[in-house]
Amino acid sequence: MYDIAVIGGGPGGYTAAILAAKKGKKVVVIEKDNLGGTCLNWGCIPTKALVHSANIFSELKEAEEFGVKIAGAEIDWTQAQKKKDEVVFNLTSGVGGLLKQNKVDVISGEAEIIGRNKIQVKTSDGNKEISAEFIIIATGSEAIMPPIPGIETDGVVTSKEALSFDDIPEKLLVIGGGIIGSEMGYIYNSLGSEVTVIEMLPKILGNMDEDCSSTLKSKLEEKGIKTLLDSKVLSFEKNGKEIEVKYEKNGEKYTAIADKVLVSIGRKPSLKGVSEIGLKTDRAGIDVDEYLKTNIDNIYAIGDVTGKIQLAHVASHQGITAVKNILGETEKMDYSVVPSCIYTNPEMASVGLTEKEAREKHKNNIKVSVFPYLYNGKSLTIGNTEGFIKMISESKYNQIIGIHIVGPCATEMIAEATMAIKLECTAEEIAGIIHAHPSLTEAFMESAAGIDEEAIHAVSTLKV
Amino acid sequence: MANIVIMPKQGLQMKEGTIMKWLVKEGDKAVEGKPLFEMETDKLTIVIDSTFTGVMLKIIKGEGEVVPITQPIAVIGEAGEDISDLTDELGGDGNKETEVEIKADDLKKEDKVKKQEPGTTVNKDSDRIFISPRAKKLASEYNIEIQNIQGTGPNGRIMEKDVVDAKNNSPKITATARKMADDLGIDEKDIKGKGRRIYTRDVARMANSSQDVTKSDERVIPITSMRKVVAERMCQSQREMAQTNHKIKVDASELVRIREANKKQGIKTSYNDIIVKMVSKGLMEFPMMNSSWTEEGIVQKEYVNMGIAVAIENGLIVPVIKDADLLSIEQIRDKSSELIEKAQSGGLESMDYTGGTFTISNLGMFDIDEFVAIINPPEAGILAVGKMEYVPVVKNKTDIEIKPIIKLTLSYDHRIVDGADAAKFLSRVKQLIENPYLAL
Repeated sequence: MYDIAVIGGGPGGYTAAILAAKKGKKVVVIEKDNLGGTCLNWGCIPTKALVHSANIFSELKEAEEFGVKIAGAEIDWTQAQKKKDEVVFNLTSGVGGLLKQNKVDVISGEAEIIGRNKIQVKTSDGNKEISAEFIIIATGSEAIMPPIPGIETDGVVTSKEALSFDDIPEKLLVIGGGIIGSEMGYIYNSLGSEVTVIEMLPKILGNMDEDCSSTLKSKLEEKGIKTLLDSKVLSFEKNGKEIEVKYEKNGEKYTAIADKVLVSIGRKPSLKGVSEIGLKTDRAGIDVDEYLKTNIDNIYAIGDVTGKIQLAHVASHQGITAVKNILGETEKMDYSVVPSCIYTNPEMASVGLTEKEAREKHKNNIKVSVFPYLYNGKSLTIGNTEGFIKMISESKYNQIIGIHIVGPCATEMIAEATMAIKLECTAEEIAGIIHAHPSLTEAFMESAAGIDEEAIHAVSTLKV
Repeated sequence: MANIVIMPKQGLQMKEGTIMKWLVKEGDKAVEGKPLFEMETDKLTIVIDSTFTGVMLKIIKGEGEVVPITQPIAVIGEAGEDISDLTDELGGDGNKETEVEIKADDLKKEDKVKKQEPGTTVNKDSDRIFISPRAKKLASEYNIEIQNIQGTGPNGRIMEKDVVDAKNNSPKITATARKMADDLGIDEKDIKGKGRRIYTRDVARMANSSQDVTKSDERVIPITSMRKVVAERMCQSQREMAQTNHKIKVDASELVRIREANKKQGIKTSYNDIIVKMVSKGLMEFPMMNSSWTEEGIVQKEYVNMGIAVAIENGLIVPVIKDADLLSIEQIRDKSSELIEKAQSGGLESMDYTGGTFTISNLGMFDIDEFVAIINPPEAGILAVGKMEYVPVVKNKTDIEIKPIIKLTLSYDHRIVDGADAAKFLSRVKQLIENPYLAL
């Protein structure tokens, strides 16, 4: 009898398991595939490894400007793949090591909850039955493949397969202009593919702050990525080596040709093995309360399968919160301050309310300060002046309620932004913190100062 | 050349003075013969004039500090003059003087020191707060009220370390939460954060609990006009009368007997109807219980209008049986059931519930043993009737009999009725209930 059984060894599951073990609980993790889940194996980590290859290659093209001549730079796709796999292997075996060190049992197999405290696991050597006082469901999500005619066509793939194409496709078509689509589009564009993104909605990165998503869109377009908005894919059809993709835009029908098609329109909860015990679910996933408890008392759910925010760091935090609640604390999950990052070039990162959300929530009583990287010394030295830091405060207390960054190191800078919002910082408080010179973070300080029209290196940063 | 201002000696007995207020601030101009500061000795408060003309370069001893005579308290000189040599000589920020001060204080407060536990003194209650200059400066920098700092030095003197401790122990609050608290007029110290840091949600919760009750787990019920009347009359009663009460147990065997007898004849009588009759009789015999306190004097009534407290939905109403003393039990029963029915259906007219001279409230049907009722003004008393209960009663010292017992509690207005009279009335009521034929 285990104290806690965790189904799924992704960032949510393994984090929960390790914390519970550290607190002296007897824990088992059941994983049907590799430890680390989507994030480490087929998501965040391998993408970022490839993004790094793409970034190096892009930067080489600009090296000459800084006095570095590089002749004959070329992509070795096999090596890039090898490096990516190495990183993945390092991290996933690292997770295995951590679990082992914390004396967490790991069972490899497919789990099915067959009772309040009982799980049946299909392993390579037959079925095993384990029992546990508490169960944490962390089965994650899988890519949605919409029922479009020809979706099963060879070469129409999800992000998982798109990370391991045999060759860099000449023509890549990306269906869905969300985060995954944008990152993948950026990678293959940098590596030489002709990339077209087809988005059903009138904008890409629909949930992101408008200024940011439109800036990123034009930056990506400058790099040669074609974006087709308001476009609906009708069918896929193999034609020799190529795939013909029929789509509709403004009532007109078009055909696009591609070697590969990436379908990245979203992810759905993986409910296999958990659906038979009367758990309450909705379209988004398993229904959990603020304490991450399901409708069954001793069963908790965390991560993508809860359909809250599909991000690894949210899953990990949910894992920690669920374990604390199992251990007798009463901690609510707070989703209000969650950073999200897009690893393109320029990078984009965001936390808190978008301008639109802020305007609605505070009935337009907000101040928006936009400080361009162009006025930042460090940006100039690294030759990367694209983008801005946009800071939104409510007018009454000057409390910072949203920060959106497009530009170099956005995904690192968002940490300070997250802390500022979580700790309810006011604009003047951030402006009063000494930031190192020269650094990109000075732009962060200046955008805060700009809320009160006190940015030194800009005439005015306030957005009217 | 800078001049040092010292604590002047005012009178032969003066050993130290407290600086109450600097009238010239640092950087401002001091003029010879013009007021420089206010100070207080154990005898007087006095304004001291400056003996120098120049710019106030440094105030060494701040307001509220107790300084022995002849000790330096300020430096006056020329604007921009370098006085570092001078202040070094004086011991920087005055640490040297602190030592001296402490000694002086020790001597003065010697006996007090013995009583005080070192390290537990809070300076709150004492008139004077002993604090080192450095600590004082720090406290003002941190915006901490020195009254709230626990001093650990001799005599509970606040030292620099104490201020730092106070700052570290004060609740951390986010910048936005602080502004919000200021805005809502909430004292930071009153806010309890869930963790170690106070967030806006904590301030909001505090604001909700202190300012409005629209929290999700509470609801606001509008106050009906009946509720208002009840509230006003109950408060008026408690506010204006000198209410007290007597209790008595009554053997209700005769009530039971009458009720059973009537039942046999097909007449339904309630115990309360009989009690109304008996109390009315008693009131006629003790008119002080049947009176009202007015400005003109105590108004005695030669009639009994008996109020009967009736619980209705969301309130209480007291319909009145007029001239109850003249009615038979049957008539009382008819009138009372008519009024109760009207009360419960909302059909009472104002004449039905005004003009009462005394009230009976019966909670026996709710299984209440006994209770104290609040007098319905302007009446002088109210009789609270508990449930009837069969209990063993000792008769003739040795015999035990089972008797139906009712507990009566008489609340009376002691402005009108004294205890002995009230007691006589209550025992008469008991006698009447136990021997109803006396009233029939």
